[in-house]
Amino acid sequence: MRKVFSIVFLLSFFYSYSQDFIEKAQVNGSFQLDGQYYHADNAIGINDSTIDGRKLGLNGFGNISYTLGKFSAGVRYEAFLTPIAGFDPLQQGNGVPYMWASYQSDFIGVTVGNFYEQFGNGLILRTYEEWTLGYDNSLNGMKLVIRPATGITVKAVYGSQRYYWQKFENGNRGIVRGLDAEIDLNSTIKGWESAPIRVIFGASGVSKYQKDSDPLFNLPENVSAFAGRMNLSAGKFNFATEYANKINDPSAINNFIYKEGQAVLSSLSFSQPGLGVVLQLKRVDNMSFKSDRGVDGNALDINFLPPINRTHSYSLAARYPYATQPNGEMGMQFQLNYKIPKGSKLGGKYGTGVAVNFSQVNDIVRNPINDTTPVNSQGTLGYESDFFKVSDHIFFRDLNIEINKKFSRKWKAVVQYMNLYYDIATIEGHAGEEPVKANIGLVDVTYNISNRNSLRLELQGLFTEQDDGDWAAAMLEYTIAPTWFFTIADQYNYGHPDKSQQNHYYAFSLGYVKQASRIALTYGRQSEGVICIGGVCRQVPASSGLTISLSTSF
Amino acid sequence: MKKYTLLLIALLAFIFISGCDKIDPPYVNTPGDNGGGEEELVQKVLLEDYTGHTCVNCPAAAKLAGDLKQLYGEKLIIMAVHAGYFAEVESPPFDLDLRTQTGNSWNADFGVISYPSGMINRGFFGDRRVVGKGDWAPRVATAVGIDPKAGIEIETTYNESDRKLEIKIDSRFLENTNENYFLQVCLLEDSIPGAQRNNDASVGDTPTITDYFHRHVLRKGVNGNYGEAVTAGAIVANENYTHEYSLNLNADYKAKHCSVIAFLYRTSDNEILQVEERHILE
Repeated sequence: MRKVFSIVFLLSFFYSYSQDFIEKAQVNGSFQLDGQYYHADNAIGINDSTIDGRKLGLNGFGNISYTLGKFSAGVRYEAFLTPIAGFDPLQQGNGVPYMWASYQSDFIGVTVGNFYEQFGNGLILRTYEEWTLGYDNSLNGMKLVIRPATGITVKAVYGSQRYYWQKFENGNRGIVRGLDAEIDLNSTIKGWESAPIRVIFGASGVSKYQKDSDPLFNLPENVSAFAGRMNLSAGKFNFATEYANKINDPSAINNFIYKEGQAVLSSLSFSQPGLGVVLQLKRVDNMSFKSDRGVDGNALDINFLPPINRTHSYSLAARYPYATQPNGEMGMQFQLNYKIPKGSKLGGKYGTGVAVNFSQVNDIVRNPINDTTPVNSQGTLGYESDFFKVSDHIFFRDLNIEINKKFSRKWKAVVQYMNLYYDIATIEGHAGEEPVKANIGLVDVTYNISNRNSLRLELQGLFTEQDDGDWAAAMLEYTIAPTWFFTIADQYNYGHPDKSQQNHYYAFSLGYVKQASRIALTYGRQSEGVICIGGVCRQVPASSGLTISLSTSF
Repeated sequence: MKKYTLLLIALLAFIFISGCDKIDPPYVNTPGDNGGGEEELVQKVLLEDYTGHTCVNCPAAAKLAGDLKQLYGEKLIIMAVHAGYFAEVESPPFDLDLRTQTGNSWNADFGVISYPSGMINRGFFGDRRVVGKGDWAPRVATAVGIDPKAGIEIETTYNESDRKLEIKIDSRFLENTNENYFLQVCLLEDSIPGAQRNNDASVGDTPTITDYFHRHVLRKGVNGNYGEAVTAGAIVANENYTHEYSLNLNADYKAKHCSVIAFLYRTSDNEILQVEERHILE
């Protein structure tokens, strides 16, 4: 009788729990498939040997997450079969590289498996995924978040990082350990809750372990980095700064020098309705921090060095994007956004938006450590660098002005001018090539035919005497909201110094959107270039063919 | 709050201090006696350096290969394969074509897409065969430490009058095996003068070294791109497998800088079992 009672009790418990497991849970997901079918196009240098049999590139993923109260878990499936041109061949493969389970309460949060995390601005730790770049440096291990008191957050992480499909084993890459603490003084100290000044302090430490099996160099097996940060806000002003330091970390990126690294990032901003001003400063010196000292590509970065340049979205304005130089750079950015008020002479009926942005990045000054050792010689301290001195060597400069104007219910336009200096030798590794000095102008006009139908025309010009010379681009888009869009576009490299390469890069697209699903088809050519997101870049080879992009979520 | 703050500082300090290896000079290890014996059978390692004359990072990689050669002596054999985008012929001074049919074929078949890249005995370490220069040194160290399973002897006869080169290769395995092994024979030329892009001031002028010497350059696959079978049947331990080749040295090649390298590799995974080099005027 007792046995029967126990079985009935267990069954009823399991039944009720199962009901909760299904009925009280929430399941979310998202899927994406990007495919490209390539064909030979001799005019832009693509032939059968370039394609090498790989006529179809398919990159796809599916994210599924399950939440029940304070518990959640999820997986991400990926398939790169074969990867789209421009993605690292090491991406080729399929499987579940990302799975996790997590419990979160007000006091504690625990995650096991794969996770993303960022300490402060990421100067010593940031793991993230960027599908467009094929970049994923997620940690596989454990994450603990504790909130011991109001306004205090402590995070601890450890694990190994994702390296494409390579399993972590036998110390084939490093192990990452980190701790971060943040204190919001206004939430923590009694009486400061409504103080006019808000103060947040943070500090973090990250250490990586990688065995030294190098016969040439005496390498550090444990490399630590430390960062401190502060955020002050008072009324319309905000000031944020972070400083990071890393001990000797000889690697393929810094040519195996033993100099310490450091980075500082500061930002001062002012914001009020209709006006926003931001000034940012950055200095980076030998701050590449990877969990495998031998890797020199876009992989296994433990930290992230945020770019302080405007990210352009128009194709010709984005043709020469800046890539962060982890071995050393000094940069500044100034951004002004102003809305000329409605009803004024310049503002008109709807107001006029004006945005001015200026950024410049120079090299740091490097002096030899003695009279006989050239700068950056491997197996030495590398160089000495004065913290406040800026090198004359300009990597990148961008001055751009954008005016955004709505003329009527039917018409609106964006006009932009950009003056660019781009050291292609440093940023893209084209040694000996002259820096690109370019003027870029564009107009983007939208005409709303009716509530559902609109036409948008983009006209762009890029004028330079360097690299591939002048470009012109035009794009016409017809939208039937909210479901259909059709575009026809062309980029024409009419100023290429080699007349045989003065090519048109035309493309025809159509797209269909329904609820959370989107399908887009493009047929045409893609010009060779570089795509950068957050200062991390990948080369995009020229291609010709059909592209499909499909995404949905629930 | 004070106790939490102190606890956090203590934890941070613990991680920071316990996770630090501050290295004092000397940073570079002193070369030891790694030259290999004259008589005994030693494991030798092939480092293939995929490179090109407009590749800015390649001179530093070539220097690293040279440093490893200094450390390991005759145990390490270097072969520079000029292939890919950075090896293409451009306007002077980059009009020297050091590409070969064999090198182009390997470059495509092994999926080399970034330069400099290298292979160490064409072996997988983890699931990567082609690696950046940062991984060369530890992988060479691992490969050198393996017990040899085969030996190769090369004899060359060179006639300066007609530039005819006779090559005789004797291969010997230490164990019986039914696996398929191929013998690949290549001709290399050292110290070819030319221009080289460079971004490392510690190696030479930037952005171009005009008086650069291209080292250990692959000139020809003597017996094709992937060689030939060591034997038609199963391999028998301690039996000599002899292969002979004959070729005329190209008039542009300097015989005193030329050498023959031969390597045995397993066809199932392309991993090299043993490699040997001999200068043709030795």
